[in-house]
This record gives sequence, C-alpha cells and structure tokens, in this order.
Amino acid sequence: MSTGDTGKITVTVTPPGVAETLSFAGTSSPTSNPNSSGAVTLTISGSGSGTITSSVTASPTGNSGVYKVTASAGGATSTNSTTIYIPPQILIQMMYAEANGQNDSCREALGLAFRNRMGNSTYWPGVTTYQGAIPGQASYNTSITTGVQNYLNDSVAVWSSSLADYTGGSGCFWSPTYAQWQTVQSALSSGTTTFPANVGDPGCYKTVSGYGPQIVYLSSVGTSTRGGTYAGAPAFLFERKRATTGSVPAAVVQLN
Amino acid sequence: MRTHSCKQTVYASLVPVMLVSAAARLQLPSEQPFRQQLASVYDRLATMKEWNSAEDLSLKLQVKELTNSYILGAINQATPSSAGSLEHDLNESFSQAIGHMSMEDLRKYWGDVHYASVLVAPWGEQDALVVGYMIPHGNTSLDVIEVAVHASGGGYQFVAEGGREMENHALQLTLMPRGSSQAIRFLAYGQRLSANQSPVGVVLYQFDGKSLAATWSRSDLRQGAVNTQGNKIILTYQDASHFEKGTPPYFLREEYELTSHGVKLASKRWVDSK
Repeated sequence: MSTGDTGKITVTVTPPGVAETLSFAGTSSPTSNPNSSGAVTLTISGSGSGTITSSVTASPTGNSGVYKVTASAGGATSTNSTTIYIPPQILIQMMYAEANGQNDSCREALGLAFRNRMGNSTYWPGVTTYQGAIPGQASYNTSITTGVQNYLNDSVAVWSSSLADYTGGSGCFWSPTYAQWQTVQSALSSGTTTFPANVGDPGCYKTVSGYGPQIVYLSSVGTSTRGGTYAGAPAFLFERKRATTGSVPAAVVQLN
Repeated sequence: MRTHSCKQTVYASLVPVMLVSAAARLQLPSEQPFRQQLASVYDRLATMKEWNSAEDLSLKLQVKELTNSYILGAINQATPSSAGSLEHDLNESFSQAIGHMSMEDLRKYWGDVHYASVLVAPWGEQDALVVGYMIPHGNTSLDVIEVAVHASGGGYQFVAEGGREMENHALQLTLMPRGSSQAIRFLAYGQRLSANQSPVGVVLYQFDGKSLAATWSRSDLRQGAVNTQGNKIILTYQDASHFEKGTPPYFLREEYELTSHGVKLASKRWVDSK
C-alpha cells in the first residue's frame, strides 16, 4: 500500500459471538526500510465480533517501511501475521511520470537504475535514499499520492529487493528518439567498441577511468508508447560502466 | 559573481587541458612536471570519501591552480599572428590532447573528457581570453570558467571567474554579440552529466573588465539542445508533462533575443522534434 491509501486487514475472532477490540503489534517499527529517508507509523483499528475488517493507514506521507503486524484480542494473539509493504511514494511517482503507459518491466527497470545508485560512493556519492536520488534526476508526478497499480507493485518489487537486477548494474536511462535508436541499433549490430555519437545518452560514466559508458538495451521494456519522434524506439535505453578487464567491451549490449 | 581573489568559493579543477606540441605556433611549457604534480594531487583526491569536505575542495583548488598556471604558461609563450590563430591553436591543442590521450599517467583518474575551450574576444588593445574546462571527478565534474586579460606588467592573467552554475555539466562555450556596455558576453552550456533524460543547462555570462557575472540562465532542459543564431539563443527541450501524457508534440522551442541590456523571450512554441 501507499501512504495515500487505506488498506484493510481482516481478522477472525472466535468464538464468533464475542465482541472484541483488536490491537496490533508491529505497527511502529519496520522490519526493514531500505534506502528511505524515514519510516512510517501504521495506524490500525478495529472492533466487533466474528470477522472484523480493520482499516490501515500509514504516515507521514512519502515515508516507507515493511511491517509485520499481528492482531490480538481478548488476551489472545493471532498465529498469523500480515506483512505490509509501503514503498517510498516518490518511486511510484517517478515510474508514473517517466513510464506512464509502458509495461511493468519498463517501470521496474527505471526503479532498478535508481536502486543501483544506492551506496555507490564511487559514482553516486551521497545517494542513499530514493527521496534523495530521484529529484533532479528524473521526473516524478507529485499529484500521484496513492498506490496506483501496477506502479505500486512495481515499486515494491524494486524497493524491497525482491526483484533481481536485470539491467546489468545500469545507473542511468533515457528515452531515445527513433533516429537515435537507429544509431544505437547500428552500433549494437556491429559490435563496435566506439561509443555512438548523438544518441541522447545521459553521459553517465563518461568522466571516470576505464572504457567509459556502455549502452544497455533491454527488449523487455518494450517500445515507446509516445508516438511522434519516439515511435518505434525502445521506451528506454540504459547506461552502465563498461567492464575494465580484458579487451575493450562493445559500446552497446543487449541483456534480454 | 566571483572574482579571482575569492578563492574560498572557487571550485577548483582538474584538468584536461593539455597543450601539446601539435600546436605549431605555441611553445609550450613542459608537460611532464605538470602531469606529475597533477597526478600527485589526484592520488589524494582519489581517497576522499567526503566529496565536498574542506580538504576535498582544497585539493580541487590545487588542481585548478596547477591547470591555470599551465594554461597561462602556454598562452604567454605563444606568439600567434592573430587572435584567430591563437584561438585556433589553443583549441586544436585541446582536441589533440584529448584525441590521442597522451595523458596515460592520468588515465586512471578520468576517462572521456571532451570539454575544454578558449574563446578570444577583442578587449581594448589586447584580446581577452575566455577559458572553460571541466574537471572530472567520479561521475561528476567541476567546471571552470575564467577570463584572462593582458596585465599591465605583461602577459595574460586570469582576472575573473564564473560561479558554480555549470558544475557537473559537459561544458561548451560560444561568444555572443555585445550589449550597449561593450561587455563581453558568452554562453556556457552543456548536458548535465549523469542525469537521466539528459538535461541541459545554459548560462549567459558577462565580463565587464573586472568581474564575470551570470546574467541569465536556464537549467535542466530535458533532452535539450542549445543553438545560437546571431543575437538569438534557441532552446529546444522535451516537456516532461507532455511526455508523461504520451501526447505529442513533446518538444518546446524557445527563442530568446539578446538586447542591449539583457535577454528577452521572443517566441515559444511546440515542435515535433529537436
């Protein structure tokens, strides 16, 4: 769920005829909260008898956390727990702004690019949170205040690290026009080690030692839904640092 | 606005500006001591964990001073036949140095560095030199923009430098027509490094003989392009909100006119592409 959502937890109290007020453990401290500027606090309340549906909210807005909550009633504690994932809202907002209308793999890959920057002090000094990483580096739509699907699920997969990195460690991305894509495609086909010019790439890793940047093409991100000059081009291309051992790696690679 | 004396605010640099023997008219100072000194400072910079600490800035300042000293050494030994040949020779030197990567002992610190240039503008009885270069550090860069004029005691000296407006940008420079004050005006522009969707920044600087001031700027123009045409500055960039909606046209084209006193937006319209 998102900090803008109201979630639901259903608890069944037995015997069914006894009225109880539920309490929940585990609402104040997250079991984990990777790469976030702050944790939320959950508010869950419910009472009644039989099957009780409790509302769940999380605040403050924009914070995050993974919570494992367990219900209690009448001195008895449930043997089951519910895990609640609340990703940084800015991750959802970034995926919406950059990849509205694109597929899950596309949105996830954008999130992975940011995840790859975390704690990488060589190339992204000081970047440890999504709240710090995204502003100035990509668009994000602040009017998206709830857990819009599938952006929410995509964000949780990236943020919680349940999704393995399939971008090959890429830290940057851009949307090529079709003309730029043709240039990249030509370099990909030829296997050239010369970085193609005028392709609109973000210039990541250009100033570091070694062989410089490498363009990563992921077919899974699909083609752009934008139309116009973007028609026929991949929704995004990615950029990572070339390996520094062995012979000079190709300037463009395809990873899926 | 800063002057050369404000060293505490100077973001020093690093220097890809190697003037090599390819410039036939220039008699260059020896490269080797310069390279060794630079490598020594970089050895210390490479261990820095806090990139904006006082020590970090101090080391970068050393790099910049080394670089400036080398540049002035080259310029002051030059005997070009004209301002145009000086500009040509200096810029050719830059490209030669970058082209064959003669700085092998410095390659462990930085990679692909393309952005360094000198503009020569008439200034009184001598020329003024607008010098810009970027100092890569990790996945960022420090961009140095300075103006050198002929000092009364002989030889060029840097007398003013720009602020940090173009920091972390792939620096490019171009002269613009002068205003009524006859101050030198030039654009610094380039893509912000390592930012997704390739945003571009542009700054108009003005040198009045004493100081260098940023008088107009635009920043973070997604997938942006900067062009000039006489006294016009033409910016084309992707509008993020349209991109989000997925409804072309995605690009905005803004045309600015330099007036005697500043910059005026002349037109703004949607276009299909850059």
